[in-house]
Amino acid sequence: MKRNKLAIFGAGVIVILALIAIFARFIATHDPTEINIKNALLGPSRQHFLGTDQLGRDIFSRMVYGSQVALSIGLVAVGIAAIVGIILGSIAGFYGGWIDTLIMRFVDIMLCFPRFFLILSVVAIVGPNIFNVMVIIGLTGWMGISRLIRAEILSLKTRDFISASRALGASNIYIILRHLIPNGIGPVLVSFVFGVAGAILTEAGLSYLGLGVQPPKPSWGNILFEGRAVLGVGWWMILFPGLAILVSVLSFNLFGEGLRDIINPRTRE
Amino acid sequence: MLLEVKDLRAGYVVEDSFAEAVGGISLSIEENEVLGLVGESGCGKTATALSIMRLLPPNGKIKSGAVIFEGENLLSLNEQQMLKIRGRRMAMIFQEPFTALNPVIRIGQQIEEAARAHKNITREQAQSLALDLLKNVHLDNPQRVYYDYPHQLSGGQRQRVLIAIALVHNPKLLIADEPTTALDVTTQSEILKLLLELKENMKMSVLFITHDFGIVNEVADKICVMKNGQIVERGQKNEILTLPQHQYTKNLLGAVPRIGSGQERPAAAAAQEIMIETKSLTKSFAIERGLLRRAVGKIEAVRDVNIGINRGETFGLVGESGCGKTTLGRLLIGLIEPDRGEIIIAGKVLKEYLQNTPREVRQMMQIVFQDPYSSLDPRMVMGNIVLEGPAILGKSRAEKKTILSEALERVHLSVQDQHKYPHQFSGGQRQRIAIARALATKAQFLVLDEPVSSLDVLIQKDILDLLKSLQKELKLTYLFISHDLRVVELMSDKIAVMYQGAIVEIASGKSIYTNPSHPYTKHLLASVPTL
Repeated sequence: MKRNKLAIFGAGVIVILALIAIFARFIATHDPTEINIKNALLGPSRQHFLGTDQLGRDIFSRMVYGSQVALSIGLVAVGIAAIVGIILGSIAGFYGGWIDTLIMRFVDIMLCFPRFFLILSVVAIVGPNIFNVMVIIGLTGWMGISRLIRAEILSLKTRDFISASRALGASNIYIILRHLIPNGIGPVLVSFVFGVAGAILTEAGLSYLGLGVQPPKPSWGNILFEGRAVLGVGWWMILFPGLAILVSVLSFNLFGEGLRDIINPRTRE
Repeated sequence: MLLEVKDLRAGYVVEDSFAEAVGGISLSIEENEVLGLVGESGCGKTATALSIMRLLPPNGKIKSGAVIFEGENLLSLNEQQMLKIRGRRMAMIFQEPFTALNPVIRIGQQIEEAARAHKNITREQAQSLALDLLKNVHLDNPQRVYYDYPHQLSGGQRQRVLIAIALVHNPKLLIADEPTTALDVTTQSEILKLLLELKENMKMSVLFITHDFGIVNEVADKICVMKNGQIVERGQKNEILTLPQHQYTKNLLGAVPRIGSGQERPAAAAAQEIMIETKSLTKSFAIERGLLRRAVGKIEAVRDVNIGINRGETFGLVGESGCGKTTLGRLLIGLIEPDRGEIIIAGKVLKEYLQNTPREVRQMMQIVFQDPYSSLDPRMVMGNIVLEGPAILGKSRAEKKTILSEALERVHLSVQDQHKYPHQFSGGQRQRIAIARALATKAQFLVLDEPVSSLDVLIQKDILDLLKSLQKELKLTYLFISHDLRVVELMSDKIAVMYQGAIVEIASGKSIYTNPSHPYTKHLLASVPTL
């Protein structure tokens, strides 16, 4: 019960975040890229809720627009990971044999690379922009999902209703799409939610290193990056984006935790 | 009086409300007596046993009543005092011998642990006690079993070990909760004999919980019949079995299949059409061991099987678990491929037949499984489950609607329930859904793989009656697979007995029990608990 409350809290924050991202235009008080050197490095005030940066841009407005980046990278990157993971994982689990060996060894190899450094080097080669970051985070993050769905399918495919479906003349594709994936998708959904949290963190990390979303386009990570230079005088440039990352990642994790309890009947009371 | 239960009320707290499982029952057991507690699943018999032992799960609660054991009210004791009674003066054995032992500890050690929990004895004394007990429960080669791990033993051997553990402290009362339900019939009869022998030797009483009147007849002195948390009838065994008073008891007894009750079917006309036949059919599976999963041998699940099934008849296939009967059923409808031999259907070899006929014709062979919980996709609604066959053929919405209502009518399910999920149906209803799914394809040949084995006896009878009437109406051909000779005998025109992958005897329904020829058949017949 207590856990469920935390999950509902997480879901609530996610909804608020989504609303902020969708209605950023109406919520932001300033143009997030408008430079005004006169107002550089002002602390939080009624004019600028969360202060300004060294170029006089309004931090609140930049953060509001930054939520668009965080959410879209989180969702699209993990969406790509889920699609690749589900396709490869269900093929491996269903067909078994050498196909399974081939795919799972590929998974093992992918897991050998330190993920963050792999992302860093690929971004360095193809160039940092929001689209590339999404695709790269997605394409390096599908392995866990493919293992999950494979394990689910391995146990599901011996169940009687699959045999019954075969006796009815169902094709392999039909069985995978109609029976196996709908029954095995639960843990993947949970891992999807956790994955969004991870992707938000990865993007923040990349932006902090200057390889994520490029200024002047705002993201939570690059506000942090710019704040690092003025840490002594402009604490608000570190604190607020840091808090935003913390709260959103925490919310996705709490929500994922709750979702796992709902989906897995064994952890239910 | 050893045990007296007075007006016991107990139940479980489910989602903040109290669901009563035991609704005020009273029963008593004398010294050296076996009381059979009989009822269908969910009637509260296990909750009664757990209440007596004070072993209800955390959400279980005893509301009121008294459990007087050797003059002491157990319900007034605290947990510390209960620990001294449990396992020492009162012990319990369970249905599942597979989960009740710790898989990583040797058998001998598990018995010794139980012994040393209450007795202050040395390691050597405990060891000799363990060996004695293993001998007393008639395990062959107790020395070896002592050093075995649970997975090295068969189900029957494990149940013997569990009995040995229960008897470590010479309890006055043994509670046996369906101790033979998970076992084969020949093993079951050995375990029942063992329990009776131990009861005599050790002067203990037994509360024997079962759903099977045949077993009660073999073991019990007195019987209590339980329904919905109440005891509806009690008395001496013979009184209840011969002159039941309560309608529910009469219904239950009437539903129990008896050997020799299968009707004599009129000898079919000479020109019978063969539906499906097999010629020296063989299928083996590799046994893989170790890290590298090397094949260390193979097990012949089906060995040189030659059978022929005529159109419109029921061909019974009986055998114990692992004898290959399920594999044979799956071979016949082409779910797995044989290593050798042929299956001939409608004059053609099955494999070619499957490749060269349209799906519509292929769907004439269908299968119904034992476990109605795993045979239905939990994420599909009932209507879609039944219509899976027509959907695969791409039938139109209107056609499907007619097919659905026709199929549901045949199995007596309501069209209004088509949007419900499988878990919203009872076990018997789920089995009806599985049958409807087969009928929706215009099936001609049905493999019924233990279709009633997981159902209560009254529901079992309903499903068997349904299958019979469907066969008559639709001229269906059945392969009826079961471990229960009584059910097979009731249903079948011909019976094949399978043992270790081979068919050892085929005979007409009647002659298999009046005149069994193979020694294994005789052994099987002798093991069936009868009324």
